Amino acid sequence: MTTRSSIIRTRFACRFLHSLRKLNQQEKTNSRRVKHAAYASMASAVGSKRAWSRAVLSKIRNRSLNRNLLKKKKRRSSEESEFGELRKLVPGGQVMNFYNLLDETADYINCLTSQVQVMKNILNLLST
Amino acid sequence: MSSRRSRSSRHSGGSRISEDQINDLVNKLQQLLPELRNRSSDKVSASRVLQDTCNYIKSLHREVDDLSERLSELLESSDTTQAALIRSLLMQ
Repeated sequence: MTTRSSIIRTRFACRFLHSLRKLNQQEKTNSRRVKHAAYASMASAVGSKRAWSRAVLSKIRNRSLNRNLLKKKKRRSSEESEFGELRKLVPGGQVMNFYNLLDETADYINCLTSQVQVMKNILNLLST
Repeated sequence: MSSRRSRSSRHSGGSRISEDQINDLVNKLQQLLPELRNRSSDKVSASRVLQDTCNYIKSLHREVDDLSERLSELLESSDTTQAALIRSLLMQ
């Protein structure tokens, strides 16, 4: 667990710094691009083993495919409506069964906290 | 672990996934939430855990927004950023 998350942290840091360097070489950048780079770097660090990271990666690679997935998701029984918010927050959550949704959520939270931590570290590094 | 049926279940209703499996995951989620981490799991309802999970994810998203904002300002503002970035890359 600890090793996996530290591996992911390092991978994320490398990928994100690489993207930042690319963004920095461009004429103009904005916070939206930095944000997309951060989420994309994390998804790529996690790889395709997780449904949520696959969802992020496919969203980046193929936006039209993603639109089809979104169309499919709509039918949900009313008993699950209270999980609607969680489904929207976890990438790919709209097409998961409930068990997978909880499992993916746990992983997603771990990765997001790592992402925030590394972004803070990078920011501190760059501001000093 | 009576999960012969539950594993093959691909339905969203979740009726074939055992309650224990769901409870395990809810407990796992609770351990990830700063506000509920230290509470005994039988004192926190599942819906509370799910609600707090949503709030926590939203707060993390806001933090990413904020950090992206500050990072992009930093990229815009200074000429020394390039050097600093390369330095930090080397430290990985």
